[in-house]
Amino acid sequence: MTIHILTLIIFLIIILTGLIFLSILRLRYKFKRDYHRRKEAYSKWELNLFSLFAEEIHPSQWASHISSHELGYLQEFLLPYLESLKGESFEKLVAVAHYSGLVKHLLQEGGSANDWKQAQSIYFLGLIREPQVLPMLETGLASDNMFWFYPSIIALARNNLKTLPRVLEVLRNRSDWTEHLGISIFAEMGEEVCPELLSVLSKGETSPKVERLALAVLAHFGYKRAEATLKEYILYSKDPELQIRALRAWNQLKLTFFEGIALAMKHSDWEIRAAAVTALGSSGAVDHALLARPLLRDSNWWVRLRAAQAMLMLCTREELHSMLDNPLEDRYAKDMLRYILTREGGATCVIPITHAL
Amino acid sequence: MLFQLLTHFNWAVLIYFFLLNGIYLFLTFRAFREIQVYVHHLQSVNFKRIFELGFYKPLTVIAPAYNESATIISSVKSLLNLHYPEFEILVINDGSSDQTLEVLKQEFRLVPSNRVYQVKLKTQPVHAIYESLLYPQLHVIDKQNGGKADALNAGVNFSQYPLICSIDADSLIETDGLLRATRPFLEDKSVIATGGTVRIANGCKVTNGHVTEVALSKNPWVRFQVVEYLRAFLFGRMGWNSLNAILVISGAFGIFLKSAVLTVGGYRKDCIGEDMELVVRMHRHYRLKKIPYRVVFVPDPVCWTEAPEEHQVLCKQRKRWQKGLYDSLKANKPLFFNPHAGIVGLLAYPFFFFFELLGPFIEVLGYFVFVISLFMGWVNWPFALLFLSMAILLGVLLSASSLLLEELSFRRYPKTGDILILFLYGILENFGYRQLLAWWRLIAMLEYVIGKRSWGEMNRKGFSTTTN
Repeated sequence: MTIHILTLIIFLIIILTGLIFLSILRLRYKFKRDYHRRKEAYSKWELNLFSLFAEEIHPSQWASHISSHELGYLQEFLLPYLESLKGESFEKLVAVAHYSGLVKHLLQEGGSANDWKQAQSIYFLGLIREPQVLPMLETGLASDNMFWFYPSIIALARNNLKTLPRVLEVLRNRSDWTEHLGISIFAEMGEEVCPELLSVLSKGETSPKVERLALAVLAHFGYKRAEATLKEYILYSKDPELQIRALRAWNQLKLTFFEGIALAMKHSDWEIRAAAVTALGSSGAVDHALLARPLLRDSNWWVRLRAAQAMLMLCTREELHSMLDNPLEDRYAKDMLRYILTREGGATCVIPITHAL
Repeated sequence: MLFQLLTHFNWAVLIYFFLLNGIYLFLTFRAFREIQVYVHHLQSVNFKRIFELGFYKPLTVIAPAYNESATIISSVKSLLNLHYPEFEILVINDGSSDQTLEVLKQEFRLVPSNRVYQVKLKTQPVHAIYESLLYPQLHVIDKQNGGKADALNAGVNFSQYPLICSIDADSLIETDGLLRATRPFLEDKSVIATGGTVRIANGCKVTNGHVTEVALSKNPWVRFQVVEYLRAFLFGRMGWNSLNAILVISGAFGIFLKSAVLTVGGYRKDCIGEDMELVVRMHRHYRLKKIPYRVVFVPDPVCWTEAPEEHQVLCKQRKRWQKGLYDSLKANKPLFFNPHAGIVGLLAYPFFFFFELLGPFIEVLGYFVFVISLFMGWVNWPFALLFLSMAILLGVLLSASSLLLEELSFRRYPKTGDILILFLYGILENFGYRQLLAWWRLIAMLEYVIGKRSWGEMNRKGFSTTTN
């Protein structure tokens, strides 16, 4: 009996090993075949792509030559182009995705039970701003997994401006996102998001982290109409982080000087003083250049550095050299001025490194 | 009387054999599922984009070096070429008696550093700390010899980042290996450690400290080891990973949350297998304190290492591994069949104890009993032959499964001929190689019991490299 069982087991093992061996060979063959098919499809599509952009063919003409088993390759092929192209070329590729049946196929896969299939489909559908993707995003938006959350939030943000309240809600409800991600989310929405963000900020219905992000986004888009809002933050915000962000945005937007900057330069927080004096420098307010002078004697190295940089932008070299020659001027102020002049390349003086540091 | 004893022993061996192979097959089955899911996950999103968006934890790579003058330069250069947004490299010269420190000083223009060294874990005295004038992220700690664990602890003390990556100084990590290996830390906040796959670089082409062309070595000892590594990493660790019960993260490439390493007291210096011991101790700490955690094996970040090409060196290595296993299990006895430790206490630890630690005893004893039975004329030949065939074929089946896993996942060996050779070696290893390993491991156990517990040195040839 035992002998029979052992013989049977051996027989099964031999069959199983043989099957595994054949599977290995089959996989090798399949992989090579896939590789050649992909290569062939890509070389064909590259030509189609140029013809499409040159308006020699219509998207439907290209799509009519794509068979259903090539949809996976098409998804891979289009992805880098969709990530980098805009405008008419982008829309043409979206049309190819529609005509070929790729969008329909991905919408089916987006509802699949496999996380990875969903994430992959959602990322692509989000990229082409497919409205039907919106109901599929909730799981990813609530996920702690960044590789699942990221495609979902990007798909939501790219879809249309109406999704802004939902984007803000998601960002408000979680803290594990970075400013890089936040900026890239709003960057996906385009400059049109700026007035919407301003109205959100004026209503004060969001979290400090989202407020800081919104100020950074306004600066990122160079949205000068944010001036009044920024003034309010600089003058009245109780959150030092927000004041700093507002001052940095003021600096990035190169807005003109106002009294709030002078007040911020006297703040007890050194980061606010540094941001304020930087904003003064970029404002080009030559008449107020001397406001930076007391900060050359600040106890904080960074504030002294920013003050010196601001003075470099607002004063003439003669004025700066006369300060260096003034025996009554503070030693640290002189060191910083020397440092900044030498770094700029316009001075012949030697930096006394031990003092400056 | 003796006949009865041998009959009982044979039955015990039979049960042991079926249990062992049953668990192996179960792990293989789990590994198949796990690896398929993983490979698909990998394709889902461009993970590098996530790192560009600032989702990463800065990391310190710690490379202990003891008499590694032959390979240290290529290893450090390979580390400097790694793609990761923010990382530092600490090479710990653990009192080398060769030119390790000198070649490092010369090649990387090392100068004394003023950076603070905080003693969070006790180590042998640190003589000097150097920084490179060429690469600001490179530091070298020169300390008194204290063993690999002591060197790693010195690295943990000096590290300034939340993640630490322990590697062997003779290892080559693939360029985006760190990005891939740290991915689980972004997916799940309870992850405390991850380990990558270690593969054998002998026979591969190495350019500028990176494996640029994968090929199989012609040395038969190396080929046997390639099959072994594939089996150990692709189905062994992947299978245990699916149960969150992975007890080994190779010292050649492992990433740990520094706070978790400090919580459990760092690497144990009196232990030969410090890498396994640390992971087992982490399981013990987190399981028994009921703190949610995960130790994850990530199969695709590959670390290439130099395998012994001579049987003497291989023997030393395997003895060290066996002693390390003994040490790690002995130091964490409270896990043994501890229901509070869940699957680690009830399955993983007992598996390693009965099948990995005691395995060589049972195997060698089995051969011995067979020889006695042969002399006494008690051998049931049909049964013995069938059993032997089954044992060999099961070994072949497991090796073939790992080759299939390799094909399903990463396909590092581009030549079909290499895969066929590996398949052949998966058969051949059952005729002598496996028995030799069992014998060395048994000797290692006996040496351990009589108190011979030295680490042992491994002579490195160094990678044959080309430079562009």
